[in-house]
Amino acid sequence: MATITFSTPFLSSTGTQTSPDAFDMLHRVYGLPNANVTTTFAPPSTNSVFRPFFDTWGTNRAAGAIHLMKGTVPSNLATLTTFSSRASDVLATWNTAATSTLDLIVDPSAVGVAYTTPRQLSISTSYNAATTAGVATWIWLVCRNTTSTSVVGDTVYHSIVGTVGVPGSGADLIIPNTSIASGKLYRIGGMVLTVPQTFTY
Amino acid sequence: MALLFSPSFNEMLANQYQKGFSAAANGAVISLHPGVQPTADDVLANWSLYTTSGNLLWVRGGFLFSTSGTSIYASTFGTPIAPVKDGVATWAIIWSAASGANITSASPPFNTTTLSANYQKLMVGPVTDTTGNGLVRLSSTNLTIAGGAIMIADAGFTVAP
Repeated sequence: MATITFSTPFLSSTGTQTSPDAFDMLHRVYGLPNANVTTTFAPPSTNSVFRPFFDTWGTNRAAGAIHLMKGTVPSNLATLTTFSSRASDVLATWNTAATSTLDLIVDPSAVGVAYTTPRQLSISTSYNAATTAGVATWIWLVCRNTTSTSVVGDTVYHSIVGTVGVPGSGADLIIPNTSIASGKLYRIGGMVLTVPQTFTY
Repeated sequence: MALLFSPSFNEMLANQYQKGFSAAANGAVISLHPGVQPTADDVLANWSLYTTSGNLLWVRGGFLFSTSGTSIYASTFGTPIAPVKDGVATWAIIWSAASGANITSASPPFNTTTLSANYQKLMVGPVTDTTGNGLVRLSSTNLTIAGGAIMIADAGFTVAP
């Protein structure tokens, strides 16, 4: 097993970029208000590898979403091949759909601005009503195919799955109460993804 | 449990590295060093220690990298050059800079705090002979000035699926 490390700037979102870095893997920004990151990185719409996870600008804006889920936490991603996989277990969804107000706020100014907090991406959401009642057990961050800001497909390009639990549970996402009521408004106040700096191969 | 990431992230990583190391006009630079492998940030913070204090064995620019799936590998090599110091190479730096000759400057040849160009990428990894799985591999890790010009056997890695 070999270990390699990468320089922090390589994985940072600090400054004005003219090339893609790890931050762009997760998010592409084109002149968002107060954004400190601009990039000329334009992922080919037909190539899933180059599609950022949360694209909140441009033609791929509808690609990213977060599902709050109930039921058995998947042990792998083999069954999550489409956006509607496990549709019956979706409690609430926030997305980057083509509405005037984004459900999903991926904020490059919240973290990564200072050099002391690189490689991080802050995610928060507006309030959305839960569509189903149940006990939240896992969260599914998903990127699907799109051809415009309003035309979305069902094919999953990227997925991140984590557990949901109450404080002290050690879950990946902590919420005060995992019992979700249908119709009640919920939001994610602050979730941070940190890109690792050391990899083994 | 740890977060589950789809395998596509590994391909994204590989592509990011390839872009970083092949974007500059002069391609990427590979330098070979003896001793214990430091972290990339340690190299940046102590650049002169690793590059001008007798800890530099060999350096060459002109490398271009390609990707294949989740693998990134050197596809274009510079011309062979002799080591600058005798020693056993154990770790390497790969970075994309405007000029490989700048390695002997007192500070890193690029901005270390902000990303303002393509050539500000730096990676640190192990060196082995061709039987090992080093980031950079040589026919022999025992380098001597008297041995004349050498070139690495290969460089690259595969991100775990």
